[in-house]
Amino acid sequence: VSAVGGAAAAGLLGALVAVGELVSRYRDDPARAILSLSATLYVGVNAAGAVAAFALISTFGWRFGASSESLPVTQVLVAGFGSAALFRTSLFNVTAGDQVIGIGPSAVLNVLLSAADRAVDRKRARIRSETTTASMDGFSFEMGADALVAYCFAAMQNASADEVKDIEDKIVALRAKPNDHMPDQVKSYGLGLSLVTVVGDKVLHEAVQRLKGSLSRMSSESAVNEQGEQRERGGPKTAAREQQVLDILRENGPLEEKELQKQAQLTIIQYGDLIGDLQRRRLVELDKSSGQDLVQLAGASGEG
Amino acid sequence: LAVDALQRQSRLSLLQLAKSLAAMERDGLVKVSGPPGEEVVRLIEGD
Repeated sequence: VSAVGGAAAAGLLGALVAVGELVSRYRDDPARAILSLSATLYVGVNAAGAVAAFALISTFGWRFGASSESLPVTQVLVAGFGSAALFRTSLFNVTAGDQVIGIGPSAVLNVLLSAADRAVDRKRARIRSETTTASMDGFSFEMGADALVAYCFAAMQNASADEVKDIEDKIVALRAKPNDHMPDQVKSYGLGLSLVTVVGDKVLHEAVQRLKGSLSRMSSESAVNEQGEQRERGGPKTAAREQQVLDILRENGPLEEKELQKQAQLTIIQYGDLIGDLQRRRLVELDKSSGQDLVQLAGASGEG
Repeated sequence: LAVDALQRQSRLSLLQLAKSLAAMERDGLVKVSGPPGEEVVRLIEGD
């Protein structure tokens, strides 16, 4: 193997290692992650590192215990796959405060690689954000999160149990009390961004489109049922109370929960039934952004 | 226990507390009584 041939082979191996790293890191759309300027830079730096490692190995005649016949191939493989390990060797140490920092070629190589990797990540983040918000637009987290996850993982054949658990944990976190104030649509985007990493943007888009129809039918059926139940439950009396609550909110604007309960003269159980019902029907909403639990007419926060 | 005190201790919104109380009352675990805004919650003791 000539020196040029060996260097080319080592460079090619270094490039393949870099492509492999990028594919494993940006699983949602590896092809698009690789076909970018930053990714080319990442692959280029890794390949150049492998070529430089091969040059060092050849110059100093390092044999790695190989026999004469297998020496060229061993040198190419070590340079191609092991350039990072080779360059990790520190030439000297510098003490900064109470830390000892190794200074060697690896520091320069790592800075270049992490800068290129960060650039790929930023580019992917922008694209992921655009495609995911477009797919998840108008999809209700509260109504459809569980159905969407079930659908996506049923469509996938090779999703691991860990990936499923990660997504389920994400849903639990989004439903937790500290996120109560987060708008439903934002939660939906958050879920979409987690799901897209596993299933990719095309599967996510397809799943959301298919589920939107079913959820919207379910929502109208449930509204009809609720109205029926309400007629059976409270009849005109409940309707009058609802009207009274809506009138109070119209006159006063957002009201603290306790104040609304007092003004409407509702027992706590009546309050829970009535406001819960109005909230489900999206006539009122609970606003916690000010630190107080305020009840307001739906959409009132966006008017100002 | 007064509903006000229960709300402070549980740190739930009034709506969440109301829903929980309604469910517990349905299950026969508590009894809520008193005029609007001044309700008291009592545990119903089992057999």
